Amino acid sequence: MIFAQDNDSPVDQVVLLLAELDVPVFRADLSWFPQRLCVAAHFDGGWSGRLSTPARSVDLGDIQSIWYRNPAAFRFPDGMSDVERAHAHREARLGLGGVLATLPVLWVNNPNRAADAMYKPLQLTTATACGLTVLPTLVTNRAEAVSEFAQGAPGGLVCKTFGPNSVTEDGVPKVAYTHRLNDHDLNDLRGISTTTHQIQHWVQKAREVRVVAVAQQLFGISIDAHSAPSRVDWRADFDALTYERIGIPPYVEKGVHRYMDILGLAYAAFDFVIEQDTGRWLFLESNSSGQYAWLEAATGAPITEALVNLLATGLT
Amino acid sequence: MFDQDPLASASLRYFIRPAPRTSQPSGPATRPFSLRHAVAITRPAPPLYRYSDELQVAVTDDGSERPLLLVSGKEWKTKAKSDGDEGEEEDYDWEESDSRDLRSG
Repeated sequence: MIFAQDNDSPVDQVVLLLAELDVPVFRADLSWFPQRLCVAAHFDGGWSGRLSTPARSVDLGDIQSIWYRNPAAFRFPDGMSDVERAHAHREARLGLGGVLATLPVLWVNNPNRAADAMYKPLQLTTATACGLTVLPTLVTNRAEAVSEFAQGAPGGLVCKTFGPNSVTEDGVPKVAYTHRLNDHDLNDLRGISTTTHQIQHWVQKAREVRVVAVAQQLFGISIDAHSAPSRVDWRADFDALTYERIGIPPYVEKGVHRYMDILGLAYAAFDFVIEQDTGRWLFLESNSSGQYAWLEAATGAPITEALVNLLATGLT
Repeated sequence: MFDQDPLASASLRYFIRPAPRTSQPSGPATRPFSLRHAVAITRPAPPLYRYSDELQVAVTDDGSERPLLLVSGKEWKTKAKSDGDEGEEEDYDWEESDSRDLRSG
């Protein structure tokens, strides 16, 4: 079973490959619930029943795996009040989500595990516990703490968000890329006090690497930045990037596998920096829904195939 | 209710999505520092498509039932200014895809 938005091309590719292999697929977006996606499940010592759309249905007992890839939110009928909508949302989340949570299937990823893994501070402590190297990091809403932290950071500091880095203001979409703090910033830290901020040591990068983990299979792909903005945050300038398959040091492989086990993930994209002076792989973050298809297209890394095999195999 | 708890990850679980909001930046004293250097981006128009219930994939909107993937290329909706990992805060729940950069290649 696949929960995803209906315009997600990597999902399309997986669906088409599963169809070639004659693996039955039930795909739905959660925005279809409750108007186009229905559930009828009953408990008799265990949960059984069906999920259905106008076009197809699936017996809950036949589901081997669930790829939970960024489905959109429930969409309730027009005309509901805000109170009714909030109530319906909560009931759907606990009812449908609750039934799905009981299924003995492979989740890629279980939304609860993925939600826990979204906490960056937890990521850093988990990575360290798994033998990965993490840069000194400050979480604070005190400007003075940033100033003090800067004194121990000869290479400087960056500020990066904990979660989504995009907002829309006055109709204009904006992105807050990772930002190197300059003297002007350090002399004017207004706004730090408004919420928690993630401040991290900056290191000179030889290159960056995304490690895509599909269960036990790891794909290392280097991301080489060729412009000033992309050297700070490669997301800032995709046109300035080149990619290459790259071997993963054994200690990083081991650490990534342990990390996945501890956080209960079946899929994740890990971002590392290779430090220029030392060659050390430094863990930055992991994303439980991190994108991979553009890297596959650029390098030929068979990530889709690995996902297809994982979903087709399930827990067996 | 756990979804009222501001610290519980449970509040992020299962499809919670805050209502979309638009607003103007506040002043420097109240604007989060992490947004100080936010830059405006453009969003390419998404390709026209419809969802095929039979194929369970997006197909071209010309009635030919061709998977959009085969027309638009593998990279369609696979990367974004924000890496595509975390999406628009006001539009999505956690770790949501971002469809703003739809460059094919």
